[in-house]
Amino acid sequence: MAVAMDALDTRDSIDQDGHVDSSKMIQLIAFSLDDQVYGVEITTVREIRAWNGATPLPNTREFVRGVINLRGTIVPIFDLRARFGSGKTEATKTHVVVVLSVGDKWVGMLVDKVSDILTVNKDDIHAVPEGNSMDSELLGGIVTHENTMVGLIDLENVVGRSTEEA
Amino acid sequence: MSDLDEFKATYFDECSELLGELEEQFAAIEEGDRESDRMHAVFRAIHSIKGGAGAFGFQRLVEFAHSFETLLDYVRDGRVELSDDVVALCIRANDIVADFVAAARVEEDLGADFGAEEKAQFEALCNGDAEDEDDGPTQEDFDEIEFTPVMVDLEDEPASDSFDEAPLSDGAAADLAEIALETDKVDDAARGWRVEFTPLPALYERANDPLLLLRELAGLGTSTIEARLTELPLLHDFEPFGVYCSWVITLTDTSASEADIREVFEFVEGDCEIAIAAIDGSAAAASAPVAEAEEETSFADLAASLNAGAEMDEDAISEEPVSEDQAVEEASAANKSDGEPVAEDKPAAKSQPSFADLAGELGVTGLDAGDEDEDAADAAIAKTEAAAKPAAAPAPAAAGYTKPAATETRKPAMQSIRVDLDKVDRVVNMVGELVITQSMLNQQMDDTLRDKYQELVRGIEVLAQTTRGLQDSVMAIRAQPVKSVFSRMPRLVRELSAKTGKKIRLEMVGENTEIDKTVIEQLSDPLTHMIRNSADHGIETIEKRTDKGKPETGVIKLSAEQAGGSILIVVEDDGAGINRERVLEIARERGVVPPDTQLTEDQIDNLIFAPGFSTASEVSDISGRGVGMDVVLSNIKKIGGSVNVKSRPGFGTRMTLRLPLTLAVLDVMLVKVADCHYVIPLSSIVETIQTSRSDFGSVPSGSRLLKVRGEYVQVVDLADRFDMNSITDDEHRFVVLCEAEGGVKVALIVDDIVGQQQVVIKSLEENYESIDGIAGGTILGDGSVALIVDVQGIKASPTRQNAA
Repeated sequence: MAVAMDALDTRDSIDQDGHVDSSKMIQLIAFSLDDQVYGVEITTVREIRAWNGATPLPNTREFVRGVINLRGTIVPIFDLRARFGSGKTEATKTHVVVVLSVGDKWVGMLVDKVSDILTVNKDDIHAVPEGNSMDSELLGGIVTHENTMVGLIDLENVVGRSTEEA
Repeated sequence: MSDLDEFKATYFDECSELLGELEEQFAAIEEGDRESDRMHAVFRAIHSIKGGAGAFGFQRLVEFAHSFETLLDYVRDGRVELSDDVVALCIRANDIVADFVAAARVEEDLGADFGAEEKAQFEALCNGDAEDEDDGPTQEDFDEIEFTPVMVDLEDEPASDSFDEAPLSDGAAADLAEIALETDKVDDAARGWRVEFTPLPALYERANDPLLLLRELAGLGTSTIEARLTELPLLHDFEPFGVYCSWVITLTDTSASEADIREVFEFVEGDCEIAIAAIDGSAAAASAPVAEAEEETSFADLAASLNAGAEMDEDAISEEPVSEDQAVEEASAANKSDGEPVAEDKPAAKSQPSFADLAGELGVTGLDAGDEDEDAADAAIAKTEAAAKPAAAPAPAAAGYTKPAATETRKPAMQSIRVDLDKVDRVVNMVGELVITQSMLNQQMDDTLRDKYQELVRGIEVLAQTTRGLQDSVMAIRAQPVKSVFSRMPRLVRELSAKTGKKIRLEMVGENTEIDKTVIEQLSDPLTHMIRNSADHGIETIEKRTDKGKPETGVIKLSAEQAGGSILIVVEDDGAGINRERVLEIARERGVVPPDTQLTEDQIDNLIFAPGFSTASEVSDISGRGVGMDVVLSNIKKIGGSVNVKSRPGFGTRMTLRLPLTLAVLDVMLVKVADCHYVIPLSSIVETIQTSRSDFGSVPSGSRLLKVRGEYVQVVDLADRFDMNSITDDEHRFVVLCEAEGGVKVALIVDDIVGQQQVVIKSLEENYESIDGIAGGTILGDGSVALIVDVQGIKASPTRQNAA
C-alpha cells in the first residue's frame, strides 16, 4: 500500500488509488547502515548534515561519538552502528548525521547514508518478533517497503539511558 | 482577569522588595538607630503593602497591616515610645506581614488567629496611649473610620494611569486620621508668604505633580491653598490636556525663607510661573477661596478636579462613588476630632455631598484629586487642616510626599525600570557570542595582515574595546547587591533562635557586594542551609556557652566580599566547631570514606558536604553537622562555585562559598590533550610548568606526585583520565597546576598549551548528560566544541580511587 514519494512531494497521504486516509499515514526518513534500512518519523528530524567530525567526550558511553556545535548549542552524536553493537563507524565525509529531537533534547545520529522519505500506513507496521531483547528494545516496529524491511528506530531507547545498566 | 493577575504579580514583586527593605530598616532600628527616617520608611513600606493588599482583596493582610500601621504611626509621632519591647513587637509583626503576603501569594489561608496576639498588642499600646491625651483623638475616633478596601475595576478605567496607584486608595483612612491628628497641635501664626504658582503645560508633560509640590510646601508651615479656577473654559472648549488651574498658597507660621520656597519648586523651575511675596502677621483663614470655589457650577468643580493634574482623571469619577462617603465621613470625623471645625467644610460634610461637591472641595484645595481617592481624602483633610489652624507639622506632609509609591513613579527622573530577566539574558548571551567572535577575529590577525590593512586592524582593536565595555555594562545590569538574599537571614536567625532556645545574633557585612542575579537566586537555599546548620549544630546552648566561658549570645557572621574574579560569601559562627570524630565515624559507616584512609582535618571537615553523608536525620541529631549540606554543595557547584569549610573545635566554624562574578563568560586557558582541545578555567590555575622541568615521584598505587615548592601534589594525566592516547612524548608535555576549592592542588598534565581566551559556557546537560571530569562545553572560534575541565571533580573521589 505504501508509496514511495519524491522527497519534495508534499502530497504525502494520497495513495495510488486516490484513497486518502491521512490519519493513518506516517512519513519516515529512511537511512541505512550497511544494507539494512531503518527509519525514523519525519517529524522528529530537525536537520540532516554531513559528518564533519565531533569533539570526543571522555568517560561516557562508547557509542557516543562526541559532541558538535549546532548553531551555538552542544549536541551529542550517537553512532548508530556502535549502538547496535556492530562496532564503531569509520566515519568519512560521506557519512551523515541526522539531527533528531527526542523529548526536549536534540541528538545527532551517525548513519551511513540517508536514502529516502517513505510514506507508510500505520496499520502495516509489524511488531518486532520476540527474540533478542535488544531488537525489541531498539526497534519500535518493522514495516515493509517495496519488499524491503525497514526497522523503525525507537529513539527514546536508543538515546535514553534508562534501558541500559547505567 | 489576566491583567489583574499581572498586577498581582507586580504587587508581590514589590512586596518582596518592600519586605526586604523593612528587614533592613528593622535591623538598623534593632541596633539602636532610632532615626525618625527609619520609622517613616517602615511606615511607608507597610502602608504600600497594605494599599496593594486592599486593592486585591487580601482582607487579612489589610487588617493586620492596618493595625500595625496604626502603631507605627503612634510611634512615629512619639506617642508610643519606641522601647525595646516595641521594637521586638514590630519585628515580629514584620515577620507576620511577610507571612500574610506569602500566604496571599499562594492563596493559602492562615489560621484565623494568626497574628491576633500581635494585633491585640498593637491595640493595647495605642489605646493606652490615647487615654493619656486630652484633646487628641481617641482610639474610638480612630475606630470610627470604617476601613473599606476599594476593589479596583480595571475595566472602568480608560486612559488610566492609576493602576499602580489605586491600591493605595484604601490607605486613605489611615492617612486621614493621621493628618487630622496633627491638627491639634495648634500654634499662633507668625509671618508668612504668599506664593502664586501657575504651572505651564511643560510641567505636566514632564510628569510633575503639583500635589507633590503643594504638599512639600505645606510641610514648610501652615498652608492655605487656594485654587484659581477663573481660567476654566466651558465644557465644549475644555481641552483634556490643557492647563487651567493655578494656585495661591498662603504659607503662615513658617520659618522658611524665600529660598526655601524656591527650593520646593527647584525641579519645575522654568515649567511654571512663581511669584513669592512676603505677608505680615497671622494669615487669614482661607475662607474666601473656598467660597469662590463653591460658587462655581458643579461642572466647574468637577473640571477643577479634573484639570488639576492635567491628567485624564475619569478614574477619579469611577472611584469616587466608592470613596466619597468614606472621604466625607473622614472629613467630618477629622473635624470632630479637631474640635474646631471650620465653616467651609461643614456644609459640605453635612449635606452629604454629591460627587460634584466633593470634587469642588478638591478644587478648593487645588490638589490633584484625580488619580486616587486617597488624594481626595488627603485633600479634604488638607483643607480641614489648613483652615482649622496653623501648625500642620512637617511630619505628615513629608510622609505624604513620599508615601505613595504610585506618586513616586511619576517623578520626573526615572530611577529604575523593571525588565524581564529573560530579556537581559538574551542580551547577555548575545554579548557573550560577540566577545567570542571578537576574540576569534583577533586571533586571525597576523603580522602581514597588520601591515597591509592598518585601518582594519585599528577598527578591530576599537571593536575589542567596545565589546569589552559592552560586556561589562551588560554584566552590571545583571549584578545585584547580595542584600536581597542577606535580608532574609535575620528572620531565619530569629526563628532558629526561638526554636532552639539559643541566643543568636546575626552580623552581616558587605551586603552591598554585587553579584550576578542568577547567582543570587541560587544563593538563597545554600545560605539558609548553612545558617541553619550554624544555629542548629554550631552555636551551643546558653548553659554550654556559659560553662565554656563564652558570651551567652552566639554570633553568626555573614559576610560577602569580592576577591578577584570571585565573590566570597562566608558564614562564620563562634560555636562548637565540627565534631571530627563523629563525622569521620559516620562517613566510614556510610562508606563515604574507605575504612582505613587517613584524612587530614580539613578533609574531614569537608566531608560534611559529601553526598549521601548528610541527608540522614541521625547526623543532625548527634550534632554531627550537615543537614542538607550536600544540597549546598550541589547548588553552589551548579553555578560554578565551590564551598570550603574550616573548623576550630571549641571556637567555631567558617564556611566559605566562592562564587563566580558572572556566569556567562569564563576566562580560560586553552590546552590540547591528544589532539583535542580542552579549556581550564583561568581562575583555578596557579602556574604551568614544562614536564621536563618538573619533579615527579611515584606512590605505590602507581600514580605520580609532583613536587612543587616543597609540596607534593597529586598528578592527573588528562590523557589517561580521559582515556585518550597522548601523541606527545613525556618530555614535551606541560603541567598545569590548579587549585581547587579548599586550597587542594592538583597537577594536570596536558600535551600542549595553546593560549588564553574567553569562552561562553555551554551546558552539556541541555542535550546530553553531565560527564565525570567535565564541567561543560564551549564553542571555539573555529566552531568546534571544546570541553571545560572540571578542576574540582577531576580528582577521583576517595571511593572511586578505591574501586579503581
